[in-house]
This record gives sequence, C-alpha cells and structure tokens, in this order.
Amino acid sequence: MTTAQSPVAISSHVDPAGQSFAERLNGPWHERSLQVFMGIVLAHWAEHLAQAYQVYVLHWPLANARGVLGLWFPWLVRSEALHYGYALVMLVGLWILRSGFVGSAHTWWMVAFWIQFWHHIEHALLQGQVIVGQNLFGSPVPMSLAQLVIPRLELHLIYNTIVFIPMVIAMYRHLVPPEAERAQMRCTCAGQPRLAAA
Amino acid sequence: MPLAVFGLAVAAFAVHLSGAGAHPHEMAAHRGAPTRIVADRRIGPYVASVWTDPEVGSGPLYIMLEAADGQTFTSPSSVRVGVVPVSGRLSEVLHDAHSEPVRRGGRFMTEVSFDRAELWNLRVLIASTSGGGQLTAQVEAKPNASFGPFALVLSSLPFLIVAGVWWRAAVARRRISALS
Repeated sequence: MTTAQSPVAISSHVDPAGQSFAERLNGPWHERSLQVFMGIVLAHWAEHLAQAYQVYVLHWPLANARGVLGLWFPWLVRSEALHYGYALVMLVGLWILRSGFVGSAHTWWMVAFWIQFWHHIEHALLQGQVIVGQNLFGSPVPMSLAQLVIPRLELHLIYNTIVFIPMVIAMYRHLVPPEAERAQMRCTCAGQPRLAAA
Repeated sequence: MPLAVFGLAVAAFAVHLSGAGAHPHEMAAHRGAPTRIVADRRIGPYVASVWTDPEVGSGPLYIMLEAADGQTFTSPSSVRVGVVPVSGRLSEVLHDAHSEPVRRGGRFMTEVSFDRAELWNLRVLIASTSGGGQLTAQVEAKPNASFGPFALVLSSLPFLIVAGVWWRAAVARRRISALS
C-alpha cells in the first residue's frame, strides 16, 4: 500500500469543491460518466446486433434491415446521421473523459481516441469532396482512404471494432489497475476512493 | 472545455446534415466504393470510364465521360447500359442512365443488378449530336464479401467482453473492500 492510497490522501483527491466541470467528469463523476458512455457504446452495438439478426435470422432484405431505430426513423440510417452522430459522441466522449485515466489505461484510451479521430479525418475528406465537387482518385463518388483497402460495407463495423478494442482494454486497466496506477487515480472507478470519501 | 468540444461536435453534425453532408449516395461512406471496370476507353467523341460494385445484388453503375482529343465536351442525349449474363440464361436488360452534376465532362448513373456470381456482358450505348457509339466489356460478379452470419457473433462479442470486464472489476472491488 502506498501513502496515496490512504483514506485521507484519496479523499482529498475526490473532494469536488472548486473543481471545474471537466475535472468533476474526470474525478468524482468519472465512474458514472463512463457507465453512461459505455451504455451508448453498447446501445450502438445492440443496433448492429439487431440488424444482423434481421438479416441472418429473420431473412429480411438488406434494405429493410435497419436495426431498431432505423425501423421508426429510416432517414437516420439513409442519411448516415445515426452513424455520424455516434462517431461524434464517441470522439467527444473519448476526449472529455481522457484525463480520468492514468498510466497504461490512459495510453489505451488515447489509442482509441486517435483511431476515432482518424475516422473523422476520413469523414472530413468525404465532406470536402462533396463541397468542392471533385472526388479523389477520379472516382464517381467521394472516397475515403480506408475504402482503398477495404471497399466494403463492413468498413463501419471494422472501425467500430478497432476503436472498441483499445477502449475496453483501457476500461479494464482503469477498473482493475496496477497498484502504482491506482495511487494516481482521482476517481472512484476502481472502488477504493468511494469508501475513503464516505 | 467540454462546452467548446460539445459546440464543435454540434457544428460538425450540422454540416453533416446540411445539403453538403447528407447527399444520398455521396456520403454513403460505408456502402462500399465502386471499382473501375473500364478505364479511359474511346467511344465516339468521348473517353469513357465505367465504375460499379461487381458484387451480387443491385448497385449503382457510373459512366464517366470526357471529351476525346481536346474536343469540346457535348453532353450526350442518352446513355444506356445493357447487362446480360455471358451464359445467356437471361435476356439483356437495358437501363437508362441519368446525368449527375459534375464540374468537368459528364457523369451518368443507373442501378444495375447482378443476380448471380458469374461473368456478365456489359454494353454502354451513347448517343449525342456530335456522334455516339457503343462500348462493350465483361465483368465478373463476385459473391457478396459480407461477414455473413459471423456479423451476429461479432456484434454479440462486445456485450460478452463488457460483461467480463464488469465481473472482473466487481471481483477486484470486493477484494479491495475486504482489504480496507
């Protein structure tokens, strides 16, 4: 046990007095914020699971298999608003909640952030081509760079997977941290600080 | 800082939903990009390239036209596309392609359908006041390269992984509580 893990030392870390909103999100509110964030991530995966179920179990035509929200709001899927909205929520969440992570958990979290950031570079490229009216590589439709390697529908699933994997590793390292990292944590995610603060 | 990030995100979303961002097929980043199956082929007064997604199913086919030999580009009066399996099991289906706005040359689009993974004959027929012609090519429709039922497994994994992490964290919390 290090001194920083003593109840007194930890309770001084989680004292919310005088903390900014961002500091609270990454301190006393980090645990709840991560739960909400993970809820959004899982809700998105649930949409994909529903879509796969509609196609491969219910044998619906691909055009009709729009997940759950897409059944009630088809424009969400047609316009890619759902996809892009989710990508933005991911980017914002990964950025805002980053400083609550320490050590290796922070490294993995930032890996997820940078992959998601690249995803947005790709979207910016696509939107840029639409706005300028000139597509890359002489293509009749706007092209992203990843589409050169993976020109398939599954690109979306692949992006979500390669962001999810480092994110969940970061979560694991954050919830079950090595002792040295636990001492630096300002939140209640790994358990002990809540006891100390109480 | 979180408010600034939130503001930026709202702005980005607004751009995405604007006319620039939400163009029906322009922004379908995850629908799969078309492949060029004919490159810079001379057809009448034009140089044509043909792009499509050569997978089983229906999808867009694009004909990109430019003026040949430095001539002035004259928009064609009609662009038609015929597809027929090389095996001859179906008769040819002709599709009228419609013009899409581009800055230079012409771009025409139509939906074609390959109902089976096999070799198909493709004909592009162009008519214009400055001449016309026909271009032929063959394209092999391939089985759809989707994940198939594996998508069900892949989409289920995050729930199992998160449940595993949650369980492991709960065990660690109990251990920590017991220690303190």
